[in-house]
Amino acid sequence: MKTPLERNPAIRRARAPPATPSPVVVPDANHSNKTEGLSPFWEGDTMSFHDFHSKLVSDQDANLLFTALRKLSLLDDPRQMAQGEEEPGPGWIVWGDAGTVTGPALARS
Amino acid sequence: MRFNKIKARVRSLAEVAAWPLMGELIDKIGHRESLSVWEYPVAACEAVGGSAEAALPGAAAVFCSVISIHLVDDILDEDPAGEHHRLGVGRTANLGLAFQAAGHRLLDDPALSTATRAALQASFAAMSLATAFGQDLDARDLCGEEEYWRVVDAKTPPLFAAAFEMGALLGGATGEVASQLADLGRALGRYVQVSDDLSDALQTPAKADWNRPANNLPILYAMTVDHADRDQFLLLSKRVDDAESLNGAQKILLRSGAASYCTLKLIQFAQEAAEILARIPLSDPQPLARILAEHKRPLRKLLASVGLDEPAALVS
Repeated sequence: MKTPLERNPAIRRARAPPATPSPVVVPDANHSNKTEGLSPFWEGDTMSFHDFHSKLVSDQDANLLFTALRKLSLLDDPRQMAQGEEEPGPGWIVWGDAGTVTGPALARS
Repeated sequence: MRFNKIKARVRSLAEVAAWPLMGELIDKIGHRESLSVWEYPVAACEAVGGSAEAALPGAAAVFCSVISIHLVDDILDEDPAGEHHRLGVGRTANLGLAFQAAGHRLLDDPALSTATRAALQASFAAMSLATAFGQDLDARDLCGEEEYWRVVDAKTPPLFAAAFEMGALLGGATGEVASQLADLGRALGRYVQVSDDLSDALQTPAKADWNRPANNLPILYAMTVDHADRDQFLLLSKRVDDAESLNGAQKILLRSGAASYCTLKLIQFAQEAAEILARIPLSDPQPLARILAEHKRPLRKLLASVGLDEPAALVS
C-alpha cells in the first residue's frame, strides 16, 4: 500500500533528492564556500536550502506545493503569515516560553 | 484538571515542598491542551491501552525536565527574560539541577515494577544527557546548514522521544512499541524546532535568536543563500533592536524564500511523523493523532492563506 507521501506527487517531487547525489556546497556564515559531505539525516531526505532557493527562483517547477511556497515568498508583511490564526502557535512550547500561555508566535494574528 | 495533578505530584516531593522557589517556578508554568510536552506521556500511555492516571509519573517528570532545560537554556541564550537576571546565574543553574533530579525521583514510583522503573530511569537519563549535549552544541555559532541539522537532531528530539517512550512504558507497551513511539517523538521534535525558529524570527520585538543568527534556520538561510537582498539582510540583522530594521530584515526572510523553506521542512516533518504513527500497532492512535493535528494547525492555516484550498493533502 502506498504511503500518503507516495500518493502525493507534489510532495514526492519536492522531496526527491538531486538526480546526481554530490557533496553540497555550503557557504558558511562568513560566506566562504566550503564543500561538505552529506550527513546521514540529510541523504535522500531533502534538498539543501541553496538548492531550494534555486528551485524557487527558477520558476520551472509549477507543482501545487511550489506554487504555494512561491506565494509565501511574495507576502510583504510577516504578520500576513499568521492570517486567521488567533491562538499562539505551538512552536514555542519547548524552547520559547516554557509552555506559558503568554508566548507570541508565528501564527498569531 | 490533569495539569493540576501534575503540579501536585511534583510538589508532593518533600524537597520541593520545602523549597519555596521551586514552588514559585512551578506556579509560573501555564498549560496548553495537546501542545504542552508533559501531555505527551499521557497520550502515548493511552495510545497503548493505558490510563491517563498511569502516565502521571512520566508527565510530572517531563514537566520538571522542561523547567530544568529552560532555566539553563535562558542562561545559554542570554535571554533577557531569563530567571537568572532575577536570581543570579549560579542559583538558577542549581535550580535547573534540582528540577532534573526531581524528575528522576518522580519516576521512582514504588507502585511500578522494578523493570519499568529501571526502564523509565534509563530513558529519562538518556534524554537529559542528550539534551545537555545538544544545548552545548547549540551554544556555539554554527557554520552552515548541515551543522544546523546536526545540532537540531541533538537538541530537541530527545525530549519528545523520551516523553512518548516513557508514556508507552507506563502504559505497559513492549520495548519495541516504546521505541517506535520514541521515533515518532524525534520526528515531532524536528518539526517543533523549525516551527519555533520561524516563529522566533518573525516576532516583534526581536528575540534572542538574532544574537546568534546562524543558529536559527530562516535567519541562517537569509545570511547564506545567494539571494538578491543578502547584503542588505546582513546589515539589518545587526540592528534588529531598531524596529524599522527588524521589520526590513523580516520582510527579507519572506521574499528570500527563507520562510518558504521552513514551510517546506514543516510539511516534510509532519509527513514523516504521520507515516511513523501509521506504522505503530496501537490500541488507540487518536491521542497521538490529536497532538500531531494540533501542531499542524498553524501550518494548515499558513498554506490556506496563500490560496492552497486543500492543504490537508500536503500535511495529512
